Amino acid sequence: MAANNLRAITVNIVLGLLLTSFSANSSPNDGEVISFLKREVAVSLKALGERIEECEAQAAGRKPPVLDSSRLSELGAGAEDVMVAVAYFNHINASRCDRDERLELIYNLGMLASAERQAGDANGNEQSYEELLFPPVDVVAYRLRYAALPAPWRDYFADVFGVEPFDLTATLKANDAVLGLAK
Amino acid sequence: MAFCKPIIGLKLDSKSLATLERIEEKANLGKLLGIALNAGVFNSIFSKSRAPVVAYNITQTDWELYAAAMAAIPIITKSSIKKEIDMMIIHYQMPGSRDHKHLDFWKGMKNGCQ
Repeated sequence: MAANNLRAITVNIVLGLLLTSFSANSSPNDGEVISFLKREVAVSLKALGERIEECEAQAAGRKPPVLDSSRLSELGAGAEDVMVAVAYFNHINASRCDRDERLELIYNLGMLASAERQAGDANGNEQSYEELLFPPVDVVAYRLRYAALPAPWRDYFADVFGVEPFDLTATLKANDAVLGLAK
Repeated sequence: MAFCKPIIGLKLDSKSLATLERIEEKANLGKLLGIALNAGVFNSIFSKSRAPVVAYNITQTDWELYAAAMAAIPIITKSSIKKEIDMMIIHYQMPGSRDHKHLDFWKGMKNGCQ
């Protein structure tokens, strides 16, 4: 993937710069380690920002998934079941799209925090960014509710929603009829 | 100009208020992340020994990486806030907790009243 290649090139450049600064037989001090990790964080921030924009463009460009009311009647799935499926796929498809870059950033921030604690850096990165980088906890409830739906329903929903991110507002609007929301 | 649907007599419930607090917290975390990163990416300043030096070399690559990382922070923050808003839209559209005033409010938050 182009984004991954770009990131690999960027990492190589950064490593190249660092390798010119350090010799193999001298041990880097705490400041050097922290500086290196800050660069790693910067590289992964850049990669995640770019990936989020790509995923958002993908969602905006995708035709909203539309459920068939007669198929839903046949299965016996109601509006609440459909909303559970929408919630589940809205989360899972979006997180699948930027997962690698997000995990890389979380890892690098964790390493930086750990290095700063070990260095006893009073101005260290003690702040936790979990709230910013992880999805709202409510998504877990929808995952559990989705897992409890009958298998044939899940198969149908998986077919309709697919694996790519989608625009939530457009999808709800496109499914007004099956959700009983048409005013 | 953006058009916002008027919402008369909206009283935000505890779930919406809790989400608004989380959104504020996320906006603050985004700012803190920028501060934590500060100029640490400038290898020539921060990775050498702490002894004072006469002059630093900051390369074009340093500047580009720093600018790209700083530019990514609002994108990441905004995406995180959008996820909170999505959960609210889903909650107030769910049969059993459906509430049109709350739904209009959160849809306005998401779309910037388009």
